[in-house]
Amino acid sequence: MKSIVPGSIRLIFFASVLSVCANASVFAQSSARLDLGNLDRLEAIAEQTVDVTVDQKVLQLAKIFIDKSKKPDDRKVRELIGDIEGIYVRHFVFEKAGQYSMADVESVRAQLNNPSWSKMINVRSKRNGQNIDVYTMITGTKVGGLAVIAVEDRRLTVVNIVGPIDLEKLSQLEGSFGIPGLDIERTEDKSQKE
Amino acid sequence: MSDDYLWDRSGESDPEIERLESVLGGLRHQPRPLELPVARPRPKLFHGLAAAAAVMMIVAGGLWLASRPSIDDAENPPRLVIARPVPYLLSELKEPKPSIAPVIKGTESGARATLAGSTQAGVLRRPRRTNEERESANILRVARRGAPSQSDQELMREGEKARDQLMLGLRFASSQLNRVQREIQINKESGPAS
Repeated sequence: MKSIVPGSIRLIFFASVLSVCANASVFAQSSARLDLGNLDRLEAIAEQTVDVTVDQKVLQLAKIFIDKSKKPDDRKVRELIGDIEGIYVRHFVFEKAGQYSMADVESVRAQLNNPSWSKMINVRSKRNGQNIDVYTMITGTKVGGLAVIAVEDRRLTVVNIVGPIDLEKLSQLEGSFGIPGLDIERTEDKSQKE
Repeated sequence: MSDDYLWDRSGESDPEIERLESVLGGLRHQPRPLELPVARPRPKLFHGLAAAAAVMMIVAGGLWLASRPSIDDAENPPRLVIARPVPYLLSELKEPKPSIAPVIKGTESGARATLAGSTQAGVLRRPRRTNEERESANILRVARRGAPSQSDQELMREGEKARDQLMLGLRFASSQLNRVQREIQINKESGPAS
């Protein structure tokens, strides 16, 4: 039976499908960036706030200085951030427990409820009431994005890394390469004792 | 007279019948092969145009996705916001400022393009650069040349802030991963019951 659809129209149709697929893959690659704008309202409530937004422009500037350095440690940092497209951190410390709601966290978590993200680790500790979720976005065989949500009674931390990252090297970063540990837990323990 | 002539044209014919035959003979059925309209081959130019249009759709879609402003550009210009001093976080930063301090002004075009262009200074006539692109190029020039002037020093400081932001972001990411590792280790040591 002869098709009534001309060959050229079929060609355009398949090209359109191909275009949609190609563009969708481009979009998927860039979707490791989380929208943390909903957390901005917590700045007014929190006792302490740290907002780190390192996008590609800031990264390029930082890479210039790291490239200029001849220290071997800086070279390792440069390797680590090689193809990273951005690092975004929101860290809030509250005076009392319960000053932020789980709805604030859910606004971020909902974005991770996506087939491209997978929950790698979930740690719940009754000892200090913390709940840490680590999500990764796998693109091909590499980690293409990382998201960490650490929820505690008086603290909320969200970390979002866009782009390929070596998690093992990243975890080794603290306390080395001239980057001291943050001592978050130690500080928290002191405050609890007080 | 028999009717055989009328049946199979045998036997004696009637002159009146023969006259009618000669008059109406021109209208008798003339067997000839069926002539169907010949299908004209579709010009190859049309196929070429269709393919070109499809390729253009793919390229245009990809370019549109790549060039559209990201969340960072539109809503979250790069900044380091520290609402209130966090001693344990700022201890290693060189210039902690307990205020909203935009490190780098928002740029419309990417720094990557800026740096790529700045490496070929003077070789080709390029489109007019934005202020931010010029600043980035100056930073790179200062980084190579050394002996910076006062304005160069300001640019260098901005670059250093970019690096500090990057390091702070990496520290947070690393410390969160290490917390997860420590919690897992504690859980292992305390046994499956916990």
